[in-house]
Amino acid sequence: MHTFSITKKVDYSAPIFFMPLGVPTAAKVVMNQSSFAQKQITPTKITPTSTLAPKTTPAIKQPTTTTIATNTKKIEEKKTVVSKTPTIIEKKNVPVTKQETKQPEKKEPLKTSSADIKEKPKITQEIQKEPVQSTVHNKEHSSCDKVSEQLAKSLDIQQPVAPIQAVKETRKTHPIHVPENAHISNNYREVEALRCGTQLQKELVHKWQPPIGVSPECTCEISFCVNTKGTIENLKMVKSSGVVMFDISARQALFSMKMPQWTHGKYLTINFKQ
Amino acid sequence: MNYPVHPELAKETNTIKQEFYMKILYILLLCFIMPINADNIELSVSGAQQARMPIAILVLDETNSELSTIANVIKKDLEFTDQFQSNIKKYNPHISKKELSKKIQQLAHAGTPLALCINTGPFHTIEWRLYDTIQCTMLQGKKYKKNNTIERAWAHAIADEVWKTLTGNEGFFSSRLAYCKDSKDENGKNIRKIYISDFDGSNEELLVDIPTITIAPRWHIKKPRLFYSEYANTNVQLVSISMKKEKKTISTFDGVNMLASFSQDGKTLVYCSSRGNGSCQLYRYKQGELKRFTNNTGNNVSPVFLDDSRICFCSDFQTGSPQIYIGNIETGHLQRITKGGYCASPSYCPKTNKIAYHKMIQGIMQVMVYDCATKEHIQLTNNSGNKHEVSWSPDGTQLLYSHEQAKNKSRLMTFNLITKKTKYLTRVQDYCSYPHWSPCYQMFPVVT
Repeated sequence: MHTFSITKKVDYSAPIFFMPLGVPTAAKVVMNQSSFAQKQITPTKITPTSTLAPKTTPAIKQPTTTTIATNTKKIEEKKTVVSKTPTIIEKKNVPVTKQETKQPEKKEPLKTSSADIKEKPKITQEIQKEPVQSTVHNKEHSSCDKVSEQLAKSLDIQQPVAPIQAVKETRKTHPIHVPENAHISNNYREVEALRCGTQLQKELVHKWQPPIGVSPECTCEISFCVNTKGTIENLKMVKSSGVVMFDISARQALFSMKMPQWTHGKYLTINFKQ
Repeated sequence: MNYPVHPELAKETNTIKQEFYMKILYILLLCFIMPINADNIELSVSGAQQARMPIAILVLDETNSELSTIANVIKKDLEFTDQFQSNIKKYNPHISKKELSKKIQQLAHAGTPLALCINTGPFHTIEWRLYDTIQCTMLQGKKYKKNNTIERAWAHAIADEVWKTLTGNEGFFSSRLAYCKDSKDENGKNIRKIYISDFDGSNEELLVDIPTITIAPRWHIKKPRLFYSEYANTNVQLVSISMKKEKKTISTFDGVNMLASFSQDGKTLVYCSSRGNGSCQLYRYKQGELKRFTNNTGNNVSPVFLDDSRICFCSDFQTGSPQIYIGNIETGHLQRITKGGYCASPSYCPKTNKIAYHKMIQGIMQVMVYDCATKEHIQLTNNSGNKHEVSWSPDGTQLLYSHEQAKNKSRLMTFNLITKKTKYLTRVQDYCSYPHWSPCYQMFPVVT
């Protein structure tokens, strides 16, 4: 059975926030931003370019470049950088193996193909891991650099690859603004209890009309039981205000309002103040 | 076959069993206590809109005109305060108790939490009962034996009792007003007569009808007797008059004799008199002995008792313009409470411990209130037209004064300190001045 109890004085006019444990407001904002960034990253089509033609790279290296290009957007930028300095790459050619000699004959264009990806799964897997992290924040460009270094090593390309630019966020994220007087709780039941109290208070404020001319210090306390049908029973004046018409107005407010569902079958004590 | 149990093992099993039963009992108790426990919700319902309290006046004899008159007067009295909203319902005198309780319950459902039933009883009696319609219980009820035929006196008395039951404060519906109204005699000469009326200005009655000028009426604090000043051939005399129009001369010194005020016990009188010296001084009359209270070169007028030892009055001896002072009768010590300006006509309310007076502000006399406890001055009015001779209601919630709208137009006006609303009590064409609000006497001060 759900028990509802609020004994402390609560300002029900203040907003109520439920904040899970261990999640401060600022961190949650960052997390939201990152989640949006992740969602926004979409694989883009990579068109073959002549810049990464076999002229500049050995035949063996071509498939690697093609596989890289198919996985991430960064590869386009890498291609452009690489194409600018073809001479350096030629000088630093790695000794060509038999396989490497065969590959330049193929001169395959830089197209995305699943077959290419399958040929050298190791490199593709390594590459796939890192870009996901690096696209989130600009701070993580160092990881991009690491990737590029690895690529350079594998492709015998010592030219640094241009860092991948972060994906532009099309959706604006607003930080959560929590008012100073807000009730913040990490207990979901407490939050529900506060919201129920707010609902009851709003209803009472709407229905209750204290009489004119009564001192602002007047208060009265009324206890009652709400039956399963929602009607008030066993109403008792626990503490009278001393002004009969003030007490009567409070009682009238209770009888005129429709008690919410959560009060059915419960005893309640309400303190009326101006 | 029962095997013997080791005693230590038996003890252990017993303790385990006990613990188990205790746990079950604890759980059961929790299950029962939790729903029984009252959920205390403390709600500060602030911002609720105040409204007039609805009350139904039930006349239990639809053919009785006297009861109808009483009901109408009660309705008017309660609505004068702007705190109640009433409606009158008439029923058959032979209505049964069950039917009446049903009617009362219907009022509760209709949003009317109070019902006042009035009916006549045997042996010239009037009976009233105040009900809480929600709980269908009687809050208060009384029976009066009629001793005169004026219905409104009964109505005011019932309204006072209902007011006291509902608000906890004394009512003022049985109080009366005294004021001067200008008119012209047969020769076209301006004369000023003294009238009295109900607290709301209704049922005006001429009390002093002499072919001369009569001014500054003041009610006695204990009995329904009026003290006023009337212009004679050689002086201005202080005279008292009863509701039966029995006159008595109080002070007939040379010069001016006026503005009498009484102590709370009614045994000490203080008034101002010039005695032909050109300046008004205050005189105290107690147990047949007349003593001079002030002794200066200024004019000292409008004395009012704060308590048995202190008098508040207006004097111009220090600054040349009238200021408000509080003087101790025994020590003679004077304390000035106003600072500058033109301040006059103080009136004291013992219920709220406040002094009302009027002050010239930007060329217009406005009503001011001084709190004796906090020593703060508050300006109540700021509209055009001079205000004069402010007077408190017996309960301290209303102020009465004359509002001079134009040169030849002066009307009586009330200011409700709770609702901040004003009401005119007299007609536009009447020139009324020098108002004074009476206390609520035990008997009904009606003119016969």
